[in-house]
Amino acid sequence: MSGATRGAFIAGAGSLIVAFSISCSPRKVFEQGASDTHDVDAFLAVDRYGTVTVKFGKVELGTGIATAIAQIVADELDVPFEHVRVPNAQTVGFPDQGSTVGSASLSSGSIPVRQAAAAARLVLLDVAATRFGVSVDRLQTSNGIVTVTGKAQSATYADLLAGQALRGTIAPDTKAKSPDLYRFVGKGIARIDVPAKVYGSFIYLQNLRVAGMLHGRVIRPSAVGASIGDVDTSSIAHLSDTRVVRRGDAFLGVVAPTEWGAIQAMRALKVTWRGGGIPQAKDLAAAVRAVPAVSTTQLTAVGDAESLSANALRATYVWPYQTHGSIGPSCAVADVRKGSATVWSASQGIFVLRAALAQLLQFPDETVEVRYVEAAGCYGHNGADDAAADAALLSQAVGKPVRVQWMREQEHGWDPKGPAMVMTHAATLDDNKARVASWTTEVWSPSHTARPDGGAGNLLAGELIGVKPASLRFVGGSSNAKVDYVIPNYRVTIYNLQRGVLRSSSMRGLGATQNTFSTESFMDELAHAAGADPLAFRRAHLVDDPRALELLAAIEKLSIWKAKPSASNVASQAPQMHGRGLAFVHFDNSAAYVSAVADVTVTRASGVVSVRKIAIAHDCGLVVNPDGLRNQIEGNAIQAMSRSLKEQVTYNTQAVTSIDWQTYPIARFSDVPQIDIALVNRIHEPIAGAGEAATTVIAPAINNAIFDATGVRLREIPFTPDRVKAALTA
Amino acid sequence: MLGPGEATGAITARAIADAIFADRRSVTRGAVCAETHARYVEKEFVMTITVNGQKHQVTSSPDTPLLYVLRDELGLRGPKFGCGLAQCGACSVIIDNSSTRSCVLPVSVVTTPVTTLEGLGTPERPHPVQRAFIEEQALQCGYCTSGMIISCAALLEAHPRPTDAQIEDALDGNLCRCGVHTRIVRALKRAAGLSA
Repeated sequence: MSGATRGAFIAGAGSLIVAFSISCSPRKVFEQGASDTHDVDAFLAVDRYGTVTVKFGKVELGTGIATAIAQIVADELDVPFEHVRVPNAQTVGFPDQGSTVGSASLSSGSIPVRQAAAAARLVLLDVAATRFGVSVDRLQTSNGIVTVTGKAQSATYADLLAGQALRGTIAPDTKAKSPDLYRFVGKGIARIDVPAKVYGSFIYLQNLRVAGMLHGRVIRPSAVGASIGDVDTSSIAHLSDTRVVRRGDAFLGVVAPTEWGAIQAMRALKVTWRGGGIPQAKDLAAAVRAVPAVSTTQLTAVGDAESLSANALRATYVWPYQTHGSIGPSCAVADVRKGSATVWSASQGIFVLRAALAQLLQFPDETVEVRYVEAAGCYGHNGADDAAADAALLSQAVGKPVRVQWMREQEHGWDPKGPAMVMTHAATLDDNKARVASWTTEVWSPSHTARPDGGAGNLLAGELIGVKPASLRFVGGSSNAKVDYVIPNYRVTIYNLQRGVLRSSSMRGLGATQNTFSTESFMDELAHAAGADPLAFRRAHLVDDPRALELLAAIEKLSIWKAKPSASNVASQAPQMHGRGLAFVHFDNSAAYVSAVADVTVTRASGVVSVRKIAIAHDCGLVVNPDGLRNQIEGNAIQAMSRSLKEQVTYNTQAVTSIDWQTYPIARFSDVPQIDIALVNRIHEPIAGAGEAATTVIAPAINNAIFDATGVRLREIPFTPDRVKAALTA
Repeated sequence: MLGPGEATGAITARAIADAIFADRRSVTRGAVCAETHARYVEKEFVMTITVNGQKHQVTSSPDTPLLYVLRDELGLRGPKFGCGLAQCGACSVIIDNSSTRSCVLPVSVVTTPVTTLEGLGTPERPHPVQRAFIEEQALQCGYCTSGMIISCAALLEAHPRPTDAQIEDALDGNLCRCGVHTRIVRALKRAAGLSA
């Protein structure tokens, strides 16, 4: 509903109508949503008790975003922080602000909410002006109260509204508060969700129970692409009230009165599968490059990169498939009735999921409601949407609400993976060996999104019943493929591949993680070829960017960086070799600036890389909650260290074989380094987002530290003991 | 009426847990309590378990892992399903003073009191580890938190001032994917009155 159709509830209440420019590109709509509302009450409500409810269209993924939004609203609306509530979004009654992706919850998601809060304050001032018979400029707001300057007259927001909606329009020229006046933004306020999680009262999606609910489990094909042969229902005849649900060629599940009963049925049901399998190649790089390219993107082409690269330094980098690895497997509850459905999901994109589920169920969009409920940590497009589709099909089949949770082997085996990628670089130095003269980069990547905005065919259950996936929307392969360094002759080419051997989608950092691993490792190779200190070498290529240079100064100070060329003190006979490495990124060439220094010890005999310390300097513009931000940076660092040292999805000719925490190990307490962080807070700069940026610098910083320690350059993730040992003895 | 304690005699839940941990890939308890188990199946006994100080009759089948009884029968929200393989620790509860994986422990062999996150403390009377987790903001998504707090509390019960090696040993079987490890260790040390 547009503001133009809604009369202001009080004469004079901000009724300026101006359209925001919302581009209609699919990516913009996906990230920022289809909502074009300018109504204050689409985002905010104040009840009779003064409680402020924020209808935030993005979702809390366990990162503390709800707390940060409450801080922003409390400041902009002048209410106590404790009065602000940020409930879970749902498709009914919440603005479609797009999916919670791209580290954009605050950088773009908070903007309409902040504007709504600023506009709401103006609405309240107008109401007060009418009530007290004074002009607005004689009023001031504080702590949820409007006061007439110099008089004893005042009224709370709750009194002024008396339970009525905040009727007004968000004008684009609504002045937001100066950051110098913030009381809550910039403070490390404790997260609002933490106590319930610590006392065991928090309702995770996995804890949700609805009346009359049954328990479902899915049974996945024995091989990728296999179809159901025979199902012997007599094999579960001993389990009472248990039903087998079969749809299409390959969707199979069971529904039982209890969760344990469903698991027993899942395990006991005798099924034969036909066909399917995974094509094999001589190695991962070959498997990636064997996939046909749909298109090619020339990301940059300046100067004459090609001819200068004839005698260039050349390197090929490889990143494997990785899994999200949430500690809680994907879950959903669905209640599909005749002609309508309600689905509870931890989806990052409840609005696009609604449309995909409607297509899957063959219902009109508006008859399907998706309600967000927080689940275990989300680091990208995991199985949340797929589980919703599973629950919907099972519920549709049995006519009752059904809860589905994946088993561990299903989560590891069937979640959409972080894509494998191959990156090659060739570069030459100038005649003084001081700077990079030319650089060519080629990147082989599938799309980093196969989210439900592509329709029901992008849901695993949809694929299993034969819904065709939508055409690919290429995202992510080019992220940070181009460096911010000044390179006079520079060419970057992205080969946009069809889907690879495994189903893949978005995982933290998208292609920026893989690309920055390769560009920042290669930048170190170039610094080494130049005989230069890695930090000084980077600085020499960042002359036009003061923010980047300030960040490098911050990491230099934090890490107590001592300038020297890499690998100049290799203890070639010592059983343990120590080194440090640096990496830098300007995330997506447009968002946060991050630099990391890793200190590692490499044990010669075993090949074990131990990361002792990671220092990170981080500039993501205005800091909303410094403790929440540090938590995100620490989490990025530890998770990315885990991905760098340990993680690789394995598969055989049939299916994924890394299906639990033994076959897909992740970092444990004994692996975790000391983490030092320097925040660069720029209160007059826009919020740049922090959900992913720090992830991208960890693998190259560790890799460069391994080179510094050993003089040996690794080019494939993960840096497992076997791989390191082989490189050391090569 | 006999309780499970009498039925299993000297075989404690801890012994079962030890047997399970000896082979972490094992998802069934094997034959350790086969006899008792068979008698439950024949409904010779009514199963009861004591959880957070309260005794409950169990209606689930004897082979049901304790986790499902806690979550689905008793409606507790603290212990979580993470892997069902005793590999991640999200399901941890305290039995016989030890952090124990409830996802692989058949309810029929639980003979001694069980403490879950809910039984450790409340907002009014928090356990020192719970208070420290809030003070250190030692979580992100919080799905592993129940198991982490349980393992921390069990460690402090055994070692009120644990060494770094004891901390690592006690927590290494609990997985966290958000990467809040350093905060959890800080919270544990704060609860123990140790400087981080």
